[in-house]
Amino acid sequence: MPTLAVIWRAAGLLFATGVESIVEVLPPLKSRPTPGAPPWVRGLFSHRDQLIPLVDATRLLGETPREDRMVNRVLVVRRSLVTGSTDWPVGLWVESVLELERIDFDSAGNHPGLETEAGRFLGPVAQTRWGQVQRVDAEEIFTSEEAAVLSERLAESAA
Amino acid sequence: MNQPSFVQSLSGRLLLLGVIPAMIVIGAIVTWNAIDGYEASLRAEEHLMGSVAEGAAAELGGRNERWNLLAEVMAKSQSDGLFGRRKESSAFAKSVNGSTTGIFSAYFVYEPNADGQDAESLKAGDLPAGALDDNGRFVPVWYGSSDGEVTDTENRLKPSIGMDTLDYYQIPKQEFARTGQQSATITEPYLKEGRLIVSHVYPIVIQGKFAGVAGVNRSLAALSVRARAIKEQSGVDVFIISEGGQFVASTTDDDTSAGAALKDRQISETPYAALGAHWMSLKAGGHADILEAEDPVLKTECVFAVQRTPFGNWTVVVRRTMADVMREENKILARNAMIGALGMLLVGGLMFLVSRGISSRVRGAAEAADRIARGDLTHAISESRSSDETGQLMRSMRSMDGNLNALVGNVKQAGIRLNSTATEIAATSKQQEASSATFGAASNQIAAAVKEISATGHDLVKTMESVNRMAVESADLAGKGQAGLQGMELVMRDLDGATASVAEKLNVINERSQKITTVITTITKVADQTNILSINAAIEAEKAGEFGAGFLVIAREIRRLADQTASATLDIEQMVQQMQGAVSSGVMEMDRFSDQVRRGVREVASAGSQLTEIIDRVNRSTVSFKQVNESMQAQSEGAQQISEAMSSLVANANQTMQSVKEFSRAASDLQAAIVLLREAVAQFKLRDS
Repeated sequence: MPTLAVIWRAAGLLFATGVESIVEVLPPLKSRPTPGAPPWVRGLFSHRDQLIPLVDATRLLGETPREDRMVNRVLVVRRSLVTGSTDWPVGLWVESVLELERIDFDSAGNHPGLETEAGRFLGPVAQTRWGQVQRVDAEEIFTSEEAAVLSERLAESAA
Repeated sequence: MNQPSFVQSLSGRLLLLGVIPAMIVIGAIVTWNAIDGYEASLRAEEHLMGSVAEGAAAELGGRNERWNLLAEVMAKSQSDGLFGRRKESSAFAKSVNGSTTGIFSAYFVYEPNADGQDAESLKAGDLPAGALDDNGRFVPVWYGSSDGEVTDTENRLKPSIGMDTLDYYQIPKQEFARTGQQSATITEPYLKEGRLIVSHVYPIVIQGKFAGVAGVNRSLAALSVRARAIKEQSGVDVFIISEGGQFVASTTDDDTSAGAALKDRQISETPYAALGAHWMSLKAGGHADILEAEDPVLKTECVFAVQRTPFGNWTVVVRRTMADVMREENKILARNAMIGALGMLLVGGLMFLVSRGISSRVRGAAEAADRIARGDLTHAISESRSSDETGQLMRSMRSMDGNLNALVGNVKQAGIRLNSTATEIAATSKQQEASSATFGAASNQIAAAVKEISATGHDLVKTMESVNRMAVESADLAGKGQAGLQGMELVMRDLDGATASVAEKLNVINERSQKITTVITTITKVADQTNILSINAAIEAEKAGEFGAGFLVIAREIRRLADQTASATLDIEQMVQQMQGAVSSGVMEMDRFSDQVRRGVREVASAGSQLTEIIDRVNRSTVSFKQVNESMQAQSEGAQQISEAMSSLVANANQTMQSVKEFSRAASDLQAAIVLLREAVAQFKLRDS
């Protein structure tokens, strides 16, 4: 069944994320660097009176990002970092947002995607008028280690 | 310069004539003193030993006399009424033996049946056992009391034996028979029961007839003790020899390493046989005799002091080795010799040091004098710190050397300077000679040249006149050119002003276009935000489900408008950028043009001023030309006068040349003299200064 998804670009590739897991799209913004954090964490920024981490999608995909542009966007992605607690969103820095599009990834002719540990958050690939788009599952973006970096302290403070 | 041999040198002489005689004298004094001291010491030691021998002999004689006296008292008691009273006599002998310390036994021995009681006594048996022999002869010997060697408190009795053979009985009996006089007899020492003893006996004479003897025996062990005491006191060995030539005591027996013991032995059986015979032959009485002889046992030179005892005629010999005697003296001798040697060394060392110092300074002075004599002044004489005459000599030599050095140096330098001066004079005079020769020739040439100048002057005047005409024409032409240039300058200035206003306007355009860029940026930002807004609106609309469906379409349209706005602004931006580029290059072109115009204005102005100057100069030169013309005339006349003066100058030059030739010869002579002087001075070598 086709769902409305935001099509975005990172590391020169197109990805799509369902609008149900997106809180909002923001223009490029300044974040406060967090020394000692992994290289894919750009820092922390204030979102609706809440400081949330900003993660660079290009670095997360293992590529070196180009310099910052005005067309860069921040997808505020909803994901429950701490089980059983209120949502704690994460900012995902992407190169640009192309369009909102209804895509049926389950239809015949699309590829279901490859099952790898590094690409566990990458879902099936669909052919659209923009080109080949791969679904990104917001809940699976981080490995458990990466999630621990972002949320260990949160879990402690929640407890 | 030859180095003198050590014997010929000053220090050698001092050593030979000063130190060695002093050494001989001091050595002689030390030796003399040593010999004197040695002799005196030996005499003193010998005297001391003599005293020891005399003392020992006196003591020994005293003892003999004492026991002789006891024997005499016992014998006299018999003749004074005790004879025949056998019981009392025996008791008396017992009492003597028991109460007298120092004797071994006391006894009476009668002739056979001297009192006529032999048979009766034997029969009666009232005398203690041991007082009689088998025939009833009265021969009681009480023995066993303390004699200083063995302490035997029990006083026992036994009969005497050996009356027919032994000395103690036979000697007094025979003596009395021979002389008819009573006298004490001391027997030769003999061994009895392991002890060396002597008997002191006295004959009993009753009614002019020999009736027996009374006597005491004593051990000689006490003598050995006494001899040891003397040795400890005086550090001498003591030998005591009986009248019959038997060793009674010897301190050498205490030291078993000294060979067989001498005590009890007959002197003729010991190594001392020869020496002992000599001792025994010495006279009795007076002071002790001193002998120096080699000891046959010690095999070393010894001093012996020999003295005879006044009673018993025994010989006391004390002995000391010569080394022992001279030990103290040798110490003193060694100390004196050492002090003497040290003194010698000290004197010799000091003399050597002093003489070496003097010798080295004198040698230094001699060497320096030798060097100076050879003309070698290159070595400086070292400064002497010595205050004696040699030091003064060295200082005088040093100052002489310094003065000589300076003097010869000055002469040398003066010679060199003189030489160069003479050379210069010679060269100069030669030059002068040549110069005066050429001067003559030159004067002739000048005279000719002056005539030529005079002629040329006339030609020049003509030329100047034609030049003047041409200059006036040029000035006219330049005046016209100047007017044209002034007009051109005005036009150029106008052009400069116009260019400036164009550049100003272009700058205004540039500023405006920058403002447009700012506006475009704002529009772009708005379009961008609108785009984001529309995306978020679409997301929210989707989340609103059916209610949001319519809004979703509106959001999409808004986004499209925003995108179009963004692309339109992008076009405007590009156009503005192109315009800005064009304006910028226009401004630059205008600047360059403006520069060129300004440069043109400047060049025209300078060309104008140069033309003005040309005209000026031409006008002025017209006046100068006239002056030049007049001067030329005067010059022509002057040249004629110079020509005449030159002729007389040539005559003078010839005279000068003659005198210069003479001067040149004199300079050559001077040079030769200086060469001689330099050769003489060159014999002296100088220090570098």
